Amino acid sequence: MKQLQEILSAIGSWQAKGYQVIAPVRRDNLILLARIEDPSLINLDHILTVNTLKDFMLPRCETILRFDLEKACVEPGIDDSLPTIIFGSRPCDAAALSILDSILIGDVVDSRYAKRRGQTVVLTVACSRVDGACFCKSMGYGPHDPTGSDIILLPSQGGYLVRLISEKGRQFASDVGLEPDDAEADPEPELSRRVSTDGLKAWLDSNFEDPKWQVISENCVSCGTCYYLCPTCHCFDIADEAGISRGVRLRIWDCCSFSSFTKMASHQPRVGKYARYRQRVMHKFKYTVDNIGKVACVGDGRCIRYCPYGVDITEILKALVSGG
Amino acid sequence: MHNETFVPTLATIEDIRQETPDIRSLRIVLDDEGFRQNFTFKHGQFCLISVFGAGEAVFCLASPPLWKDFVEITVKEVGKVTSAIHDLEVGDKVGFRGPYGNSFPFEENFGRNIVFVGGGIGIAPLRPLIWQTLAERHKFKDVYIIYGARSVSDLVYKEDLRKWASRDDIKLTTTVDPGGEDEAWQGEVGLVPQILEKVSPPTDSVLVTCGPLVMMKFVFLSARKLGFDPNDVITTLEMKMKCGVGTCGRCNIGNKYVCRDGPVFRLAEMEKLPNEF
Ligand SMILES: Cc1cc2nc3c(=O)[nH]c(=O)nc-3n(C[C@H](O)[C@H](O)[C@H](O)COP(=O)(O)OP(=O)(O)OC[C@H]3O[C@@H](n4cnc5c(N)ncnc54)[C@H](O)[C@@H]3O)c2cc1C
Ligand code: SF4
Ligand code: FES
Repeated sequence: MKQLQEILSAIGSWQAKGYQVIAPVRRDNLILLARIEDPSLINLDHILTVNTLKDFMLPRCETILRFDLEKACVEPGIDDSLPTIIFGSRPCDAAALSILDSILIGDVVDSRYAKRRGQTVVLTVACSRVDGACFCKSMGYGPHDPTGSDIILLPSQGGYLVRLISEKGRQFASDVGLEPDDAEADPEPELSRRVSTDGLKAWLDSNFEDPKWQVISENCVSCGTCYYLCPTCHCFDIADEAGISRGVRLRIWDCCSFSSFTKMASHQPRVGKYARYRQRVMHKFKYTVDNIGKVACVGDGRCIRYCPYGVDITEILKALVSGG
Repeated sequence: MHNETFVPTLATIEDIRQETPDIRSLRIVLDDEGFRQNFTFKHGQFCLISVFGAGEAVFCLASPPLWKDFVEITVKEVGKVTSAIHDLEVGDKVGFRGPYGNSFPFEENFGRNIVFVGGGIGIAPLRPLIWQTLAERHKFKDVYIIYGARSVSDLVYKEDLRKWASRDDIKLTTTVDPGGEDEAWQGEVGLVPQILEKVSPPTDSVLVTCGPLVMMKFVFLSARKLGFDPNDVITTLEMKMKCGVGTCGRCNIGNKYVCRDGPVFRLAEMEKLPNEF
């Protein structure tokens, strides 16, 4: 078993080896994952950070290419990927990365994402507390689940046990001299929120047209908050920003709740807020299952915590499968 | 050459043909010698063309793969990127990404009748397949082409139409919507689905169609009415696209991504998808 202080004090030496460290820090009254210089600022009091790991692997806005028309020159945006340690994110966020990996590093490889992922070691600090919005267990994960982590620290009697999960994690641990422990961890905290997914996929498979879609999406205002804070949502837009002859092409997060998302000159296939909300639910709980065999939800609960109108995905899933 | 997923390669416009008042075809040559020589694609695939500063837009590859050293695209002016393409001149540079998507079945239709049904610019994705079919004409039974547009001046590929009309191994029918004809017009007058029913090709044929969405819906109905098997009715779909490779999450119809699983679909497959196109 190790004391947190021991691990935190090693972080400076990881940085000295050339790793950038991303960890939870307090910014005003929010706890956010951010690149840190000073490890003493790391804050592990949080249940969950507001932002997710996609901020660092698939940034909100990134330059895909730069062009200079006068010089007839087009070059890829700079490669900003660095050896990176993610320290102190939670198991649900690591699990979300494993879902993004299946989508973005598949038959087609998203080169910018893949480069960052290849250089990133995810060192998760498992949860000793949960809140009423967490429902990771219902999605097949849990407060101590190692999916997507390279190394996980499990709480044990006031300290932490180091578990090496992936080859990358073992490599990193041996590089920096982090020894694994095999003592028993504290029991996982209990989650009060549960939603059964029994019958959900079968219902979605056969109820694309159902009056319930109108009802369950009534409170949503299509603001996109749940998309931006979701650790698995990855839809993006590509757009140019240019002066007279020079400019950049950007990749920017986009959101299927916006009507512009599918609007074409010839037609708009997704008319109405309910159709866009249905896309969101279908994408997460049916289409991704059909395509990669996983639900695109890890039960982190951010969409429940931060929706300004109280839209609650677990209530919606229950309403969809319930009779009547 | 880089291997960045979303960074196009440069290409030069070699020729421009004004097809109609708002549609032009561009002949494009890939600048990188190695890339050009190894470049191949299949009929039905698409590419993304960039006008740097305006953005990127999706176009079907409108020349057959057997025409080497260049590709053609046909562009209707509808918005930002397509207007920028309409302002380009011979010698200008564009960006090219592709080829992407699946393709039309070909070999499996050897020995059968083929019926092409196009409307307006919708004949563009069929054009590579038409030329490929004609290049291997002896491998097919009868070849029908039914092509229509709103008016005579809206018909694209007039040069192709002349060539096809002069061959006696193609049954070509051209049509314009009522009111779209001029004095010299010798083709049919009527909507494409009506003309399809009038021509009434044998129903053991393969029917390949593309056109405006409304036209397609009626072509499917007519094909059903004539007795075509929905497995033999093939089309190519348009959905809004950005990435072209199945990751931006934009172009799906149900669990199918039109950019990756399409754009070519059989009517039988479409009937299983949610009605969201
Ligand atoms: C597989 C496929 C093949 C296509 N082939 C051709 C072709 O051969 N010739 C041709 O002229 N057009 C083709 N299109 C349509 C063409 O991609 C759009 O007309 C073009 O992207 C519009 O871009 P814009 O910047 O000019 O329009 P914008 O200024 O962006 O907008 C005009 C309208 O078009 C919509 N739009 C924007 N981007 C796209 C997009 N990527 N896909 C669809 N709609 C969009 C906008 O939402 C808006 O309603 C094809 C589309 C697809 C999906
Ligand atoms: S946060 Fe709430 S209101 Fe906003 S798009 Fe999501 S469900 Fe709708
Ligand atoms: S265009 Fe991005 S998923 Fe199809």
